[in-house]
Amino acid sequence: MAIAAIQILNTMASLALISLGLAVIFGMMRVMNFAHGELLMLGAYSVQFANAYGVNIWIAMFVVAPVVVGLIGILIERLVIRHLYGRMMDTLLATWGLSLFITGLVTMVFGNVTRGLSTPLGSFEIGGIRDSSYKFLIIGVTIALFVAIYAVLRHTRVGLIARATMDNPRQVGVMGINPGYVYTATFAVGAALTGLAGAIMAPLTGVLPTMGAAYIGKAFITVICGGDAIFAGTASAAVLFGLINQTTTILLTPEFGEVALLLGALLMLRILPSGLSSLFSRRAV
Amino acid sequence: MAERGAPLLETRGVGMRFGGVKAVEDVDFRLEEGELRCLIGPNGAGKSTFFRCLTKQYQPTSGTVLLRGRDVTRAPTHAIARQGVGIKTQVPNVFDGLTVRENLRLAATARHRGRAIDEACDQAIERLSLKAIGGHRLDRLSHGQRQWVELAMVVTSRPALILLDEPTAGMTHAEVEHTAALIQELNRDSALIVVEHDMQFIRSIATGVTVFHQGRIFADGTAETIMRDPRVGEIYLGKRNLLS
Ligand SMILES: Nc1ncnc2c1ncn2[C@@H]1O[C@H](COP(=O)(O)OP(=O)(O)OP(=O)(O)O)[C@@H](O)[C@H]1O
Ligand SMILES: [Mg+2]
Repeated sequence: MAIAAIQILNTMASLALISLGLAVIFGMMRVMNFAHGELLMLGAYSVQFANAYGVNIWIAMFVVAPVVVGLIGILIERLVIRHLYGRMMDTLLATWGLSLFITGLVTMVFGNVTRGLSTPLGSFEIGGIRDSSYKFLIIGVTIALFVAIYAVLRHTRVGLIARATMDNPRQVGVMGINPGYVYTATFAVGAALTGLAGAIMAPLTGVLPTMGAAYIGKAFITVICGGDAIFAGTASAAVLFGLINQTTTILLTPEFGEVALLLGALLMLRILPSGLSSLFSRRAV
Repeated sequence: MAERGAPLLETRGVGMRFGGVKAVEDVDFRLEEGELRCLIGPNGAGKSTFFRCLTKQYQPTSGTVLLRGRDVTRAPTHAIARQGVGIKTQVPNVFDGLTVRENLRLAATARHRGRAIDEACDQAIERLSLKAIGGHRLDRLSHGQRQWVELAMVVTSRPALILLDEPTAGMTHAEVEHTAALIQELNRDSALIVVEHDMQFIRSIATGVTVFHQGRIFADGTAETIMRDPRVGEIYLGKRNLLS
């Protein structure tokens, strides 16, 4: 029972973690980033690569991966996204093209092989069942990230500027704020969080060029079903779908778990078309 | 380069067209440091559009805009704001999802840092009696309250040049008087351009009046001479003069 609870918490946290960067970018900028899975993949490569070259695993995971992918995010925003603001369809197509391009490039450079990364932290045992202690790390980091983002948005100057830009982008210029900087910074933060998520997931999934495809669907479902209150929504959708997915996985098989998640999402959007957060909040954050 | 003795604001031949509509045309306008000017003109004369050309919320389609002699024709909105131009638009343009205090903080960050932000907010809240609604979100407020918040945002950021587009629209008589006093107080530190329709109000605050008509400057002068000018009366309300 305790093991089941930990597994369910872990699935919830993993969903929230892989969706967080997407939530930042979609929530703040209304940009549907179809290259989200590839940013996760680049985070995974960053940690694997840095670690293979002797960088301490924690530094590779918590510093190298987010910094590398954050910088790539700046590049993507400046070269592609910036020219397409307000054009949802064009942005979608452009980022989809970008995802193919990044996958192709990484395949060319690193080859279409799965690279491994040993899971740190060993294992724990409850009632005769062993499981990886890494699950606690995923749960802890996810909670810490959500709390940190909430605190920054609510209580800092930067957070105030971010919320204002989200609220009324045409008016922030009048306040002396350059909306271009805000968008670049937001995209960079979203990308960095995504890179970190990819790095954290890397030891569990292995690292290969096409790994992004496994994440993108779930991340989109979680963010979309979350609704307008982007962070509370994403968190609550992750909790709901994590519960459905992992419970079904324990009772039946992982395949049924995935199917149950999808059915749950469809049903939920049918009942609550404006997302889970419409139940409890009108706030944007 | 800032020239010595250059006016605070100067426009040369500024024009703004929307497709075939010439909303503002060939406007030469000068405002000295510390000046208080009223802008009047019938509906659709181009007053609001002219303001937006100054803040670059619209990019003028012709002409030059100079701030203290520096050419800012190509500068974006945020750069204009940082050079000390604040605007209160005709339709309250505020951040609906944020509280009154957060809106003020945001305005204050344009000019202040650290503790000075809170002090500027406190002063504006005090000065405009907004204490009771400080924690309310803007989308919960009435139109009139939003007007006051936007005025307070301008007060908080203390710009060198303040543009007010119909600040008294929809206000009660007492509120209008309050606003007139506020404008005169602001004028101690800042130059102002105020778009107004209420002649009584203009006479109580103004030194100079500029009349817009069909996108162009139609007349210029003191409040008294403008109000007695029969040509102005005609374009304005079809009246013989504005005092009748
Ligand atoms: N975004 C726009 N697109 C097209 N036409 C516009 C736009 N903004 C203003 N106009 C036109 O420009 C002209 C001037 O409008 P403006 O709002 O500047 O007048 P105003 O002097 O402020 O009038 P009022 O006293 O009614 O506020 C009008 O004919 C208006 O229809
Ligand atoms: Mg107007």
